[in-house]
Parts: sequence; structure tokens; C-alpha cells
Amino acid sequence: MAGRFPPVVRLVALAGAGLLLAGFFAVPRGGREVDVPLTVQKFAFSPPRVSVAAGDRVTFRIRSLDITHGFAVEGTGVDATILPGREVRVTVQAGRPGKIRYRCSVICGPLHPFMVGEIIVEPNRWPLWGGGLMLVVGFLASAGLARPGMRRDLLRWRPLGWLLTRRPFQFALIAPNLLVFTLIVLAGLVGTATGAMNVSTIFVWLAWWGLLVLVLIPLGGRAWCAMCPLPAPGEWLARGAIVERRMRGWGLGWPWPKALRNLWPAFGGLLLLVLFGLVVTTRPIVTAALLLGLAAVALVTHLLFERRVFCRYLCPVGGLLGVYALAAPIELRARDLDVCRACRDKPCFRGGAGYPCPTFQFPGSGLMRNTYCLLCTECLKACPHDNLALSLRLFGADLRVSRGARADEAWIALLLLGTALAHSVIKLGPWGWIKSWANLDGPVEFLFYSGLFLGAVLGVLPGLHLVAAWLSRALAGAPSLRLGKLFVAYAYALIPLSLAAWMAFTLAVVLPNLSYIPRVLSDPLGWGWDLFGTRETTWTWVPLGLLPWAQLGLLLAGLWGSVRAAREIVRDALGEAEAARRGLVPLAGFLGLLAWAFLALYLG
Amino acid sequence: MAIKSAERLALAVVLAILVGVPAAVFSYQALRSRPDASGEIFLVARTVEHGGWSPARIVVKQGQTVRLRILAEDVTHGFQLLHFGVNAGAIKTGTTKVVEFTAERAGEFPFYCSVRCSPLHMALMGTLVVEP
Repeated sequence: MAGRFPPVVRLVALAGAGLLLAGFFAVPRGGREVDVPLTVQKFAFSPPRVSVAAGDRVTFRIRSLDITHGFAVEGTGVDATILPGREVRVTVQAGRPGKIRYRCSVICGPLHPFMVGEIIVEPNRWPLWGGGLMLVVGFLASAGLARPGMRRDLLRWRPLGWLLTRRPFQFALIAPNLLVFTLIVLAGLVGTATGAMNVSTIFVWLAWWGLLVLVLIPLGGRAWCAMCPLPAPGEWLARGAIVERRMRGWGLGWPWPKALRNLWPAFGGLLLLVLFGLVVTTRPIVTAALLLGLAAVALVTHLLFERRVFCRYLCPVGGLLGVYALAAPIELRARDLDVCRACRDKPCFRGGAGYPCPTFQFPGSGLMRNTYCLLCTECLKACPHDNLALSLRLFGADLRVSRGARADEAWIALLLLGTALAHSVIKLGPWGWIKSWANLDGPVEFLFYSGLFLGAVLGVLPGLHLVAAWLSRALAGAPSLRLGKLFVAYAYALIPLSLAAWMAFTLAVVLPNLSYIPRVLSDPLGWGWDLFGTRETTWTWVPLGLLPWAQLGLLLAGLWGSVRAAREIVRDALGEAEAARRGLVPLAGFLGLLAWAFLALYLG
Repeated sequence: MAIKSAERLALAVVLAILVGVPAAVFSYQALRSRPDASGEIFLVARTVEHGGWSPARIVVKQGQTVRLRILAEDVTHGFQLLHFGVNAGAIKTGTTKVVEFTAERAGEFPFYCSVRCSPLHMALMGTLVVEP
């Protein structure tokens, strides 16, 4: 058994175990009284982080330099209000080693939800022994046996098959979302400009985004696309019907230009969206304008061009979902490809009893990966042979399908990973300067920030990825392989880890701000309404004790999935088994390094 | 070609949503802003940069008991009306405070924000008009 692993791998595993053990020998040396003068100002604490020893008593003398702020410490009952012109003393007992976050608890402006500071209680061994765990997990993932893909067809359960083939099914999914969408856009346009008190920002970026990233994507892939209200009006008009199948609609049905038949438009949209992420997610009016703008583009493109080209090529969220859907444990595929080949009319693709596939997929040959399947269920309705299966499968199954690997998808995967890292620094980190740079406070600062952001996300990270691909090729001794091809193929291995990192990030953004939801339910526009008697709900911590564990678990699971996928991808790309074993080392190392960077950022 | 009933129903639902939501929001707001029996006046505090007091001018009758419900809309504000000895203290963002006083004297009286709220905090002023 041990003979299967090269010495270097065994050494790495040993080092991992060593680090893990070292974590258990923590010697508290605290007991001091630590005095910290702390100033607060939109949207940062200064100093942003203090380092003390376990057992110390830390007394903060807090002064506000501008307006009223709050000072609430995670895991304690401490919640002080800092009025301008008055010093407030707060004492915090630094108990267990690790990171204690404190945050502003009185809404002070758009970036208020991200106004945090940190107390590092030494010896903080989270990064050390978390890193050790990562080495162990990465090692195990690269060594274990691959299981054959298993599938379980959900449509064998008759009631589900019946439900999905009803024509009003999709409309029943869209209608509630259209209701919420209408309220959100209205609230964004005419409601309060305070993001934390407007249903548009809270519901889009807390409730919708949280559910999307934490539940819908990991379990359902692109399932959101089946219920998304944004393209619906355009599609209804183009079809000339909301529910029924009509042969003639009002759309012009032009073919989409060949040069744009890829995900680069979606990539561009996504890049803009994440670059302005801090502004978009904290301003109700920008949120509403974004949603309205996307809906308007969808309306126009669906009236002019055939099918759902907006969802297929343009939608930035669609690009994100398409890439992550590769890892989802659900898929819609043909049961028997021979039946499709023999099928003369191919109504799933050309239209028949149901509408033709809105994203030009033919289950009989092209639909081998989830990326472009909207799960809209039209093919189920169209197929005369009952030849479609909606199957549960293992996580990450599509990542091994090398056919159809494309540069546009690979770059979206890289962009998403880089953005997860960048937004973790900007939104969750204690550094106020980068928050205000990203907040469009000044044109010059924003240019600096753009340079940093784009340099990191489009330069440094893809550069490291390229180095990993180059090293992999060199170690495998296969210089004839094209580096660009490896670069693209290897990017798919990043997907599980980047999804896991987004989940860890989203948990840390959503949980501390959950208590805004009851308020906006009662007062969606911030106009002083009190529909359910919950408008005066003040902000409170939700218990976050398990958050570090959840983040660590997610990152480990993501690393596991990524290394597993990397193994298959590398073997596929390099061919020979021994070369693949050596070629995997740089990619797995890169993945481990990334996972550790997230861990160090969240818990270090 | 006859439109099927499911199609008609769906169209009705869509129109109900697109028209109904704005209609419901605006009519509920109109209903709320009508002066009710308690005579409570709703006053919104915003920083000067975002429009200041709304309304900036409150008109009452002399001798009337005035009940103000003050909402701090963007950041924490305060409310003070020195001529009637009213000081609400700090009103945290998103919360309301109620002050009550009797408008005994006629005239125009300024009210201010009492908690620093922006660089233009000092300019955040409104007027109470007490008509004889």
C-alpha cells in the first residue's frame, strides 16, 4: 500500500500530521490587563486588529471620530453604543485562543454590515492545525480509489414525472419570484436609501444570495434558472403565451451572432458586477437598477433573437450558475442515446409538444454537462419517447467530462475563485481602507482598487494556475502537450473548492446580518411601516460558535472535491498513470495552498 | 383561436402582480400618512446630504398637544426643540422615538438634530410653526 506513494507525498503527509499534533500544545500565558484606545469612523475600527494572549482582559477605550456607531463583540453580551464626543469603556475577556470579531451594531451607512474588527487571541492555532488537516485531506483525496458514477433517476417516481410535465409547472415556480422581484425593484427605486433597512438589498444579497449559494447551487445546480423571473416577460412575449404551447409568438427569432456564441459576454458582465460588488450589494437603488437592467436586456434579446439567448450567453448569474452546476448532484440527460438517434423529429431540440430547448441543447448528443441546461423541463414535455432522466448523482460528476472544456468557462471558474478570495478580504476583513476604496469614495482610490482587484483576479491567480499547469507538465515529462489546453482543463478542478469558499464566505456574511430580515419584512421600504410588529427589531448577533467549524468543514470538503476532480482531469490530460501521479502534485499543491489561504483569512 | 383557461389565469396572475404590488404599496402608504385620530405626526430624520428633515416644516395650532414620531432613516440622529424643552436623545438608525408636548406659544421655532450625524450636522434644522 505505502509503496504506491512517492516519498515526497509521504513526507508531506507526515508534516501535516506533525502540524496537527503541534496544535494541541497550547500554553496560555495571559492574565494581563490590556488597554486599547480604539477609534471608530465610517467604516472601520482603528487599530483594525489587536493581538492579545488567552486569559487577558482587554479594555477598549472607544471614541467616534464622526457619527454614532456601535461596538458588539461576538460570543459575548457586549453591545455598546458609541455616541460622538463621548468615550466608552468596554472590557472583553479573551478566553479561548482564536479570533474574536467585533462589529458595528448601529447602522452608520452603506458599508455598515461590513464594519468589523478583530481580536486575535494567541496562540491562535487554527491556521496551523487547519493547514495540517488540509494536507491530510488533500493527501487522502489524491490517493483513494475512484468510485464508478452512480445515478438514480428521480423520474421513475411517477408523481414527480407527472408534475414536471404539466405545462403550468414552470409558471408556478416563476410567479412567486415575480412577486418578490416586483416588490424588490419598487422598494429599490422608491424606498429608503439605507441598504440595511430596504427589502431590496436585504432580500437580494442576504436571503436570495444566501439560499442560492448555500442550498440551491450545491443541491440543484442551475435550478434557479427554471424559476428566475428576469427573462420571463421576454420569453412570454416571444412565445406569445405564458403557459400554453403556441406555435407562433411575437419574437423575431433572429439567429444569435456567431462571434458571441460563448460565455465571454457573461464573463464581462460578471467581472463588472464583482468589481463594483461593494456598491451593488449595499445600495438599494443600484440593486433595483441592476435587476431592471438585466430584465430589460433579457426582454429585448428575447424579442429579437431566437430562444433564451440571454440566459445562454449573456446573464452573468447564468455564467456563475453554469460553471458551478458542473459540480451539482443532479442532472437532466437522455436515458438511451440510441432512442434519440432513431428519433426522427427530435422535438426536444426543434420543438414539438413542448417548446424547443431554450439554450440549444440536444439531449441526444450535446447535453453531456450541466452548464447550459436550465432545468426548464421543456424537453420532458416534448419527448414522445419518455426518454429523459432527471438523476441524482455524485457531487462533481461533470468535472470529469473533458469533452467540451472551454476557455470561457475556465476563465469564469478562475474569476469566481479570485472573487471569493477578494471579497473575503474586502467584506469580511478588518481593513477599512480597501472598503472605502471599493466604495467609490474617490475616483483615484477606486482606480487603485480596480488595479488591485483586476491584477489579483485576472493576473496573479491565473498566473499561479498557469505555473501549476506548467510544473505539472514538466514533472510529468510531457513537454509536447499544449500549456493552454492544460490551463483550461485544470481550471475545472478549482470549481469544488471555489464553491465551498463562496459558501464559507456567504455563511460569514449572512449569519451576522440575519436579524435585519424581520425588520424589512415589517417595513419593506423603510417608510416606518409595521406590518407584522417586527419593525423595531434591533440588530443582534446570532450565535456564531459553530461558524469556524462550518467554514473549516466546507473548505476541507471543497479541497477534497477539487483534488478528486484534479486526479481525474490530470489523468485524462496526461494519459499515462505514472506521469499523471507526478503531474497531479503541483495542481494538488496549488489547491491546498488556496484552501489554506481562505482558512488563514477567515480564522487566522 | 380560443385562449385556454390556464393561459388566462396565468395572464391574470402576472398582471395582478405587476399592477397589484405597486398599487398596494402606494395605497397603504397613502392610508398611513392620513392624520389619524391620535394626531401623531410622522417626522423622518435624514442627514442634510440626503435631504434633511421630512417634513422640514411642521404646522400646528396653539394649545394643541403635539405628538411626533421620529424615524432616524439613514444614521443615528437626535431631536431637540429647545423652546418647548423637548430633547429626545439619540434615535438609533431604523428606530423611532415619540415625543409629546403642548404648543403653548405661537410663533416659529427651530428644531435640531442633537447627535452628530454628518459634517453638515449643524445645518440639520427644521421649523415648527405654531399658529395662533
